[in-house]
Amino acid sequence: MIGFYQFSNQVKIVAGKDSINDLAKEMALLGARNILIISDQNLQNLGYVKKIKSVVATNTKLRVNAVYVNVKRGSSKQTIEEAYTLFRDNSCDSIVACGGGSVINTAECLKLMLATKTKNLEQVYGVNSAVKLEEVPFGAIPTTVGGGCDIAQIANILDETGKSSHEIISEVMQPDVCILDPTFVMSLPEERLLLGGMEMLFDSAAIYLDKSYNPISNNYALYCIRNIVKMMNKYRQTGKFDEEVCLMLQESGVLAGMAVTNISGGIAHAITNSICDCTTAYHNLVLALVFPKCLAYSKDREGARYTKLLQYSVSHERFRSIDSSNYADAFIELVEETVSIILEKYNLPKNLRELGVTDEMLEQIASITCSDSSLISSGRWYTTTDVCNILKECMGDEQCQK
Amino acid sequence: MKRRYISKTARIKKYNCIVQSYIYASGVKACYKYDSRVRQIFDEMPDGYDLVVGVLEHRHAAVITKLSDGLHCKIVVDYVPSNKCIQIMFKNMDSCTLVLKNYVSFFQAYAQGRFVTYGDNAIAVKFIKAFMIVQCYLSSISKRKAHIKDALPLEVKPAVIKSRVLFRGLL
Amino acid sequence: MSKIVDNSVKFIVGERALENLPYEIRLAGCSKPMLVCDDMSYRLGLKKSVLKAFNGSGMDIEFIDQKVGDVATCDDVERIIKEYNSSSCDCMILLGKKSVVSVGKASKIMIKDGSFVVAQYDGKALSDLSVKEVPLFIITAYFGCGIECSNKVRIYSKDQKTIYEFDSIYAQTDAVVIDERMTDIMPPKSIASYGLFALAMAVDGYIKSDERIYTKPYSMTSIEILSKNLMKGILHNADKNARKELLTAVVVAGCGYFLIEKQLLAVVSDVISDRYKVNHANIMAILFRHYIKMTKFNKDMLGELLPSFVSVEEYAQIGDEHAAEAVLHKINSLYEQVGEYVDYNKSLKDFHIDKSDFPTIAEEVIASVDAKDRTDEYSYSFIINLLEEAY
Repeated sequence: MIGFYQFSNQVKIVAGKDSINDLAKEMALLGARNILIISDQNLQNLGYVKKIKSVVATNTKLRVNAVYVNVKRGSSKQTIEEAYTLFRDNSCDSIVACGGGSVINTAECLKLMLATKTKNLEQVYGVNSAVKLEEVPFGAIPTTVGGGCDIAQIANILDETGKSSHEIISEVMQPDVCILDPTFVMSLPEERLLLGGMEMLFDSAAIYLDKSYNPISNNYALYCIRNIVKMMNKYRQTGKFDEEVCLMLQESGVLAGMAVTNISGGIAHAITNSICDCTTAYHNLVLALVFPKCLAYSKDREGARYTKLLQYSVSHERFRSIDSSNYADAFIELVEETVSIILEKYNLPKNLRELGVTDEMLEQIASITCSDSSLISSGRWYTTTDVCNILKECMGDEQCQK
Repeated sequence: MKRRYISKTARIKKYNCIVQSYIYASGVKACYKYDSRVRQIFDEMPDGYDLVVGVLEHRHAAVITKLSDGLHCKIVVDYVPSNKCIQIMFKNMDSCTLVLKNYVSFFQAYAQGRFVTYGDNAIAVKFIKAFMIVQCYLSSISKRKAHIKDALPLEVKPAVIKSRVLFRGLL
Repeated sequence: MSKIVDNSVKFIVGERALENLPYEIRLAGCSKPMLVCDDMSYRLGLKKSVLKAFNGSGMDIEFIDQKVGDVATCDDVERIIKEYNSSSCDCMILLGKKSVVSVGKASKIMIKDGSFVVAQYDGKALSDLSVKEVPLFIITAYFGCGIECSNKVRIYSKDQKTIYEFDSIYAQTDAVVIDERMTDIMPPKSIASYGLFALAMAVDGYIKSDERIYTKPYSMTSIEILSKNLMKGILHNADKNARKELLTAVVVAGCGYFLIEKQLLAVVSDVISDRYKVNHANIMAILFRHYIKMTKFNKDMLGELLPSFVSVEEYAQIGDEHAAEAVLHKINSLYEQVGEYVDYNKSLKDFHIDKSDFPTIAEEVIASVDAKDRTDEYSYSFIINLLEEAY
C-alpha cells in the first residue's frame, strides 16, 4: 500500500469551569465585531442565549446583531438559508453557535457558505471541494456530548423531504474556537451523558479499526478511550456527573472529534446513519445497539486489532488476567456488558425491534447503508445481504441468533 | 493570462493523466454493459447526468454521460459544471497516476484524501464504488487482492472488459 | 482558569506528499507563495524537488530566498519581510534547517503586525490589530528540528550576542509536509541523535502536560514510531520508509512538546547550545537520559506510556506496579542499543563543554525564566547535578 495520510485539526479549545467568560476575548482575537448567535428554542428558554449575550457585552468592541433560534432537530437547507439571510440582513461578520449537533451543523454550513462566498448551499456539497475566500470567525459552545461532531469536518443536512441527508466534508467549516464549559452539559439527563460517553468510545474504536493507516488519528482514538475509562471510574466514585466528570466527558468528545479525519465509522456508523434516517431514534442509542453486533461480525477479519483497544479499555491487571487467545472475545464481551448495563439501568430499548424497526424496513436500511461514505474505509465490500444479516442479529429475534 | 512554463516531464504526466482518465471512463462504459452492479448504479441516475474525472486546475477531464441509450464517454476541455453532475478531481497529477494505474485503490484514495468531490456525496460514493469495481477488472490479480481482501466477485472475466476497453474504447 | 490549546497544524505525510502542497496553498486562499530555504537545500537538490512538485500544478513560486544561514539572525528576518512585501506574495513555504523555520515564523509574526525591524518590535502580535494573515507551510527536511509546530521562536542578532524570543499563536504553521524524498541525507549517527531527541521530547512532553491532554497523543504517536523504526533506520539506512517515519516522529514529538510551557530540559539545552554553538537536539538527547531518573513525575502517567513502548506480549508479562520502571528500562535500553551500533555523542564532554562553566550555565537557566514560572526543578543544585551526571 502506498503510505500516505493527513491529520488536521484547526480548532482552538478553551476548556474549564466558566470558560464561557473567555468567549468575548477569543472572538475579539479572531477579529469578530458583529455576531450572529445560533441556537434553538429550548436553550433560549434555559437562558443560555441570554448568558452568551451578557458575556459578549463585556467586550466593548463586540455586539450581538442578531439571534437565530429556529433550528429544529436535524439541520436542513431551509434553516441554513434562513440563518444566511439573517446574517446578511443584519450586517454580521461572525457566528457563535450554542447547542447540540443540529445547531453546530447549521452554523458550520453557514460558515462554509460565507467563507466560500456562495449563496447556494448546493454549490459546496462534496468532499473538500470548498476553497476559503474570506475569514468568518466562528465560535462553538456545545451543549451535548457525543462523538465530537462539534469540531469534526463533517456536517449532515436533511433534504427537503426530511428523510435523507446530504453529507458535506470540508476543513473550511470547522469552528475557530470551541468553548467547553461543563455547566452547559450538566443539565442533561444522566442517560444522555452516559450514552454520549459510550458513543465516543465506539467512535474511537471505529476510528482505530479503520483500514487507512493514520498513526496520529489512531493514538487520539486510543487516548480518548483511556480518558473515557478514567471518566467512568471517576463517575463511579462520585456517583454523579459533577463539573469535573462533565469536563472529562467533553474533552473526550473533542479527542474523538480530533481523531476523525475525513473518513471514519465503518459498518456500524453506516448502519446507524441509515437507521437514524429512517426512524427518529437518537444516534447514540442506535450505535449502542448496533456496534457490539458489528464487532462480533467482523471478529474473524479484524479480531487481532481488538487487542489494542482492550489494552486501553481495561486496567493493566485485568488485561494480564485475560488469556492471550481470547483478547478479541474479551473486548466484545466488555462492550456488550457496558451497553447492557446502561440500557438496563435506564430502561432503554434493548434491540432494534424495541426501537421501532420492523422487518419490512431492513431492505431499505441495508440499501441506504451500502451507499454510506462510512463504509468506504472499512476495506471490505459489503452487500445488502451482509448488512441484512447484521441487522437481523440486532433485531433481537431468538431464531436469528447463531 | 500569465503563461506558465511547464517542463517536459510535467507535460508527459499531464497527457498520461488524460489518457488514464479516458481508459477508466471506457472501463466504466464496458462494465456498464457486463456488470450488473455498475449498471444498477448508473441506471439510478437520470438521463443527462455527468460523471467527471480529472485533475484540479487542469482543463481536460474525462466525462461519462448517461443517456437513454447507455453511457457515453469523451474528453472535454473546460468542463462547465451543472447541477446534474458529480466531479471527482484528483488534487495533483501524481495522485491521479497512482490511482488510475491501480497502485492505490479508489477506496484508499478516498480515505487518504487524494481527490475532492463536487456534488452530492451520497451519489459520489456510489460512483466511487463503481470505479472500485472497474478498478478490480482493470487491475492485475495481485493488485486486486491487495485492494479488496475479500474476493470481490467478478461477474465476467477481466479479459472481456480489458479487450472491450482496448478495441471499442481506444481504437 | 481555562485550559487553552491552540494547535491548528495540518500534517501531510507520506509518499508524494510534496505534490499536495499547491492544493493546500489554494485551500488557504493563496496563489503566490514565497519559498524560503537555505543554501544546503539548494546544494542537496531539495529545492529542485519542491520546484518540480509545483511544475504543472497551475501555481508558480513567486519568489525564492535561499540566503538563510545556519543561525536565524535579525538580518535574515528583515530581508525576508522586505522581499515578501515587495514581491506581493501571499504565503510562505519554508524548507531547511531550524534557522529557516525560526526566520519564517518570526517574519510571519512581524508581517502580521506591519513591523520591519526586529530590535524595535515590541510584541504587538497579541493585540487584535490584524494587518495581514500569512499562511505558513513547512517542508521538513534532513531530520526536522522539533519547532515546526511550535509557537516559540528565537532570533539572534548578527553578532549572536542578543536573543529575541517570540511566543505567539501567530507563529503557528498551517501545514507541515513530510515527504520521504526529503530524507535522503540521514546518516545513522544523525538518526541516532535525532531519534533520541524525539524520544526526549515525547516522554518529557507526556509526563509534564498534566492539563493539556490534547497534546499527549502526539507523544504517544512519536514513541510508537520510534519503538518500531529507530533501530531499523540505523541498521537499514536505505529503508526510506523508516527514515520518513523517524522524521515524522521528530516533528510530531515537537508538536506535543513545544505547545506546552517551556520545560527545564529545553531551557538548559538552549542555554548550552547558545553558549557553545552546538546542536540543541544533541544536548537535549544527552541530558534527557539522566534527567528522567532525577526528575519527579507522576508514576502512573509514565506507566501509561508502556503500551506505546512494548508489544502486547511484553505488556501482559509486566505487572501494573512495575509499569513506570519498565518504561524507564525501555528508555535506557534504547539509548544502549543505539550506542552499540553508532558512535554518537553520548556526553557533554564530547562537545568540549567546560565543567567550570556549570555554575554560570545554572545561573543563566534560572535567570532566563520568570520567578512565577519556575518549578522546583529550577534550583541551582538540581541543574548542577544534572549537568554533572550528563558530563
